[in-house]
Amino acid sequence: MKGAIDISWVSIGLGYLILTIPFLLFRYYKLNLIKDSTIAILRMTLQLYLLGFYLEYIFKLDNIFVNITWIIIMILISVSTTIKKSKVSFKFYFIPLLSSLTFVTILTLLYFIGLMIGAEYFFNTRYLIPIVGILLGNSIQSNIIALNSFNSKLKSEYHLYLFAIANGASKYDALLPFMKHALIQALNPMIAMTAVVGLISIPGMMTGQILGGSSPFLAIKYQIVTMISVFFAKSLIIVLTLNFTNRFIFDEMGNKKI
Amino acid sequence: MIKFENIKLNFDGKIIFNDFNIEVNQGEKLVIIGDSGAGKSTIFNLILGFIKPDNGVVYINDLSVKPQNINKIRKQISYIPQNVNIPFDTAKDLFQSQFLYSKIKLPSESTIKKIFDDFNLKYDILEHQLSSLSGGEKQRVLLIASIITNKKILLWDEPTSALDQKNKDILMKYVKKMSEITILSISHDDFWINNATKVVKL
Repeated sequence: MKGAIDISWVSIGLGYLILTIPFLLFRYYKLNLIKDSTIAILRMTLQLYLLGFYLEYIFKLDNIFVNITWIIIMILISVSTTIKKSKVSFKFYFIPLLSSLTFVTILTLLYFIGLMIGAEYFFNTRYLIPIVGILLGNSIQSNIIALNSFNSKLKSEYHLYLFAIANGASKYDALLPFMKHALIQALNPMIAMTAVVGLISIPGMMTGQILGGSSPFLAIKYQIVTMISVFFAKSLIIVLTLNFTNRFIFDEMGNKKI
Repeated sequence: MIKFENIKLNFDGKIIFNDFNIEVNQGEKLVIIGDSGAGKSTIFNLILGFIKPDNGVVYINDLSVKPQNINKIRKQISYIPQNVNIPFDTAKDLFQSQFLYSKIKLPSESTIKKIFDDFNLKYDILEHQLSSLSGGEKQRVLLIASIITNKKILLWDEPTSALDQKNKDILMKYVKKMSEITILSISHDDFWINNATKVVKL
């Protein structure tokens, strides 16, 4: 198969032009989204452009230390984005998020690259960087949903938590209803998406692979292992994040600090 | 025995307790009375470890209310808050919570049926959605559960606020039989206060 047709910068410019329609709609409905959307699109362009330069460079370099540094940076950005978007305290959430994201990323990579793909060289940039990107990108959203659901339910039903611990429940047992609620809220969209993949949605990675010249069957196989890994990573990251944060946001007597 | 020793507590710049001391012996039925904001609920919060005093120690059966003891202490206590609107689905969830939280075995069905009958409640009310119960029914369900947990210390916040006189009499009959159980309650109900073995005014 041939590689994808190159897109000219003029064509990309035309792509931006079509955004005037949603922007006009935002204005019509007075949604106050134009500024945020413009910033988001400019950021996306700049970040992807820099990523293109960077990937071009590190793919040629294929150096273990550069790759690890890049992964650490990706994890740190994921942690700070999650904290910012969940509007939680950096002091209490940084270490739990960092621990869960790092642990699950390593575990998933070992399984994905080491066992499922069986790459000869584990730190191969071609596999390592895109996979970490997919894992972290997907996990940020579900982690934000989980933290928001957990914290808002705990805030509105804190009396239920106090009632439980006052009557002898362990902190873990008292928090179980809140954990369950957060897990369901965060994982339901992923389960729904997984069920309709290939019917309604055609995943970006698969599309990219096909456009890049791979056979559709190879693209499908990669898509399956990616989705399994994302499913695994998301679920585990949420469970670990909530369990780790619960060690930080409550005092020794089980009272919420913040 | 419950003991408050030299408790000092300031809250939002206001002195709640200044060198507060009190001893409640096993089996006593103590009622705390006072104006709102006087610190009645704070006494419960200090016992349960929800608030830390600025100075002094609270002892529950020789265990100080400190992190290393708090789980042991809470397992000895059955607590009923003033607001019984706790978000459970069914009356059974509310009732069983008193047992499940501290991993106590539920009494036999016949025991539960008997006491429900005494309190003029049908046993099958447990299957009803909690939201369909009246305030008085919820209060009785929780009081029954609290009584039959056989826990040594019961903390009841306004236990008779939604009970009619007939049910108050039944509750008092049970309370009088519980000679080994210490009950601390907050109340504005003269009937309840008059039957206490000790009254503390804040």
